[in-house]
Amino acid sequence: MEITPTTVSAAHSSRWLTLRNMATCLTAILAMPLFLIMASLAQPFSNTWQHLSDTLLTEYIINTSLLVFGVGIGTLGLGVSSAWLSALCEFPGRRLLSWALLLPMAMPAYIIAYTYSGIFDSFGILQTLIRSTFGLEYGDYYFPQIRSLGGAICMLSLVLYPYVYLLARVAFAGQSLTTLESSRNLGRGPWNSFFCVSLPLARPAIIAGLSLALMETLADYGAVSYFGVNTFTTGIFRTWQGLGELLTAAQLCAFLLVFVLSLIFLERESRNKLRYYQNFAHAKTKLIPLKKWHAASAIVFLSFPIIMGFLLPATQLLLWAINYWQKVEKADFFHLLLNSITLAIAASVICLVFALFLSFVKRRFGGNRELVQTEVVKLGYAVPGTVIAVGIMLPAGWLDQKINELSVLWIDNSLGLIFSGTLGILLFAYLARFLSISLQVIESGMSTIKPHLDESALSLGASPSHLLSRIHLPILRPSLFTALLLVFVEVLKELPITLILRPFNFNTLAIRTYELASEEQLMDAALPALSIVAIGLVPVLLITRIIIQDKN
Amino acid sequence: MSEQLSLNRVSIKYSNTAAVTNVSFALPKGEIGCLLGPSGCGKTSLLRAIAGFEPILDGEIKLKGNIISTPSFRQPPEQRSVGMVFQDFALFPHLTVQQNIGFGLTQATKEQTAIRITEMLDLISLQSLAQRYPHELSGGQQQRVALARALAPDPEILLLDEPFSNLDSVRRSKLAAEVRSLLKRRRITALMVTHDQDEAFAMSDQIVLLDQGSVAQIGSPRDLYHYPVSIFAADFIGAGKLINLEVDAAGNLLNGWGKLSSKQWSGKNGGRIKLLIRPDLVIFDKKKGHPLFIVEKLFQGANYLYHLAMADGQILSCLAPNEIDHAIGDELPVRFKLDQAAVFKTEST
Repeated sequence: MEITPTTVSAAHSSRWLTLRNMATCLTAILAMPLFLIMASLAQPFSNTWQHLSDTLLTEYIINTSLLVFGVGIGTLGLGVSSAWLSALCEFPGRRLLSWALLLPMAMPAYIIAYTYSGIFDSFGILQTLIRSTFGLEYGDYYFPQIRSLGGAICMLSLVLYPYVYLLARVAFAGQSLTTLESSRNLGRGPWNSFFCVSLPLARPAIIAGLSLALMETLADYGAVSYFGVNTFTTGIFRTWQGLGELLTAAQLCAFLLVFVLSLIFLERESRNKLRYYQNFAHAKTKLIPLKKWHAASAIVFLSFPIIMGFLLPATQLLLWAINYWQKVEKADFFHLLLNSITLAIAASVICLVFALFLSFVKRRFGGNRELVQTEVVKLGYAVPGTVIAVGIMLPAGWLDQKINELSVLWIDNSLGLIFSGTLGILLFAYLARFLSISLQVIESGMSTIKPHLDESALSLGASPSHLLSRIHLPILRPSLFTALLLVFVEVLKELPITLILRPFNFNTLAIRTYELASEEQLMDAALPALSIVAIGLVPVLLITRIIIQDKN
Repeated sequence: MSEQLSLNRVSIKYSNTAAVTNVSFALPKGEIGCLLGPSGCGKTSLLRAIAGFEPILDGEIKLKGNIISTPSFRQPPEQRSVGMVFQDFALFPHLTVQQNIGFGLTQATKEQTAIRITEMLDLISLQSLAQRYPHELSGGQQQRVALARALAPDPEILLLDEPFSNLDSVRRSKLAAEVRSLLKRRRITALMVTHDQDEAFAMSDQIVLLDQGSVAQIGSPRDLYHYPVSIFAADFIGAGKLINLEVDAAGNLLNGWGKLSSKQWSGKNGGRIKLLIRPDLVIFDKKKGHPLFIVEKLFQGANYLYHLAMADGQILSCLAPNEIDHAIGDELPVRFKLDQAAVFKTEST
């Protein structure tokens, strides 16, 4: 049979067109929560808003700003110094420490916050020990209050510095040796060269890492609410769940988004610069050997964030979990575990399917439309979970209300909640927030497949679905796995979205941890918390393998 | 002439493998030297040792009579007044052309810096690109900025590490000529490293030929071309074939090509030799030439390069003007300028 090329391409192009439109629809639906949040600003501001702006709004703004500023300083200090030491200096244990410095990433902020409360609070282990040893009463001595803004800054810095560390380390290690040498050659000493060449060259990477850490800071709800610090996220929660003012909560979200958008802008700008700043062509780092005392201080210095950010709290959790193992309702725990894992698997598979779809459509067309769509989807991760949850509750609540009005009108019976409080809406929220993770993984995997491969497959008569299933998917297998894993862990750790959107009486590890900790049942919370940390370790190990691999 | 740079019995080791052994040479002020050799011969290690980036295991390096490197002392690179142009140019990506050039002027006032930058920009004729960033420049422009940056602090010596290897071949020869005339005009002492003999010939007054970390020969480009002292030098420098031949006690070649001069052959007995025959030593001679079979023929514009087979199968090259046009398979009558051929005795077998 003779196939004329024109008919083939015509048949293809009509199918392509539908795929394209489906992708656009999907993006529009995913962007809807954000759009509605921004649109809420056009709605009249209620009396509650007036009350808020008179009283709490200033506090939210000040606390959020201080938190961002403090965590910024903390993550920069820890991240940059540890990145420089571990990337460019040689001392015993360097590789182990480089790896272990990522461990705190596995520790969600709310978990470290409550664990440290258990250790440092007035009735925690440490202060009890101080009192019994020195025979003192509470109030006789000075001890910093952990449940404070300062405490929250410390907690968040300890678990978020790895973002800065990770990007800065790659930047330092990737700096061409000759660039530094030419600085020395031109008469600048080692320190001068560091400040005039190394640091400015690493700056875009450092800022990119910093903006990621700060996005997480803005998104945090668990730690600040546990410490009783009033920020935007806790404010949004209170306004909505406490005062029942969904619209005002949405308006607060819009203000929070302004912070977030400036961080997104900062991050994008820095990444653009990175292209010119990093020259891996002649990258061969020569490590600076550290002598005895210097090496010892480097080891101590690098151990500090590892111990404080991971080992100490993890050990405490482990001890609590062991002590209370007997008392734990095993069936309850396994039920929680099952809930969490099912939910996380479902979410990660859904995200993967949509990510594949979007990146495939983008690859086949690569038009401006697809470019804008993927950029919009990628915003998801930067948007705090609280904001997404509120943005979804707005239409879901409205729809439920309308449906019920109609049902009462027509069948004289209320149907109850159809969208709100269902697993479906929860999964949709996860999709809106975490699709960007799978999309980025899949896109970077796709970018390694040369376009000629597609062209040769199509010229051999493969249909689009064949192209995806027989060419792309097999090559993408490692990326598929990574995408699944990363979303799985994120969903497992996720707190605010689940807290707001979960069905009634539906519990997960994260929810249970948070609830038990809020009720000061710290020991009971240890087991679910430890499970989250343990599962969170998996992607950390994965990242570590990648960075250790490309090093030396 | 005073010696600007001198190396005395310098050895360099990398984790127990000797990179450079016992290298001595000196470079007079205003001359352009070249470290030439195949990759892995230790030439870059030497350059880096002179710049102060590598320690030396033995010997000493002097700049303007002052010791800058010994096994126990290494003056830091930033105090050496040695300029260097790196192979990848190593321009600072976060600084403009102007800031790159001014980077090394740490001692100068703002005014002096500005004047010097303008002067350097004039020198490389890139005044209009002063505000550009390195990634906005072409390879050749980056190269010139790297040169200007290294020259700006007025170093005692300029080091160039494979300076033209990142450029395409057309621009390479043009820039090499430009750079040489610039350095000569300003009487700058320079030492370059290359594996490309054309670059070495085009740029340098003196070539230090290195073989596996040791000096194989030192001399002018012309000396190296015409009077190689070793089979390695003969093979590495210039085009040409090493032909295995036998010779009798008087110096007559047994294949009847002629007689070696007493300067070339002083052996008491006959023996086996290798004769370096450059293509320009093989002359087309219709009347007195030995006819040799043409096995290959390459058109090179003004000339043909013929590959000719000798009776025993060894191949010679012959450069002939392009009006001498013979087909492959024909015989080409040639004679030899034997007196200019370098002779090497091979180990007695």
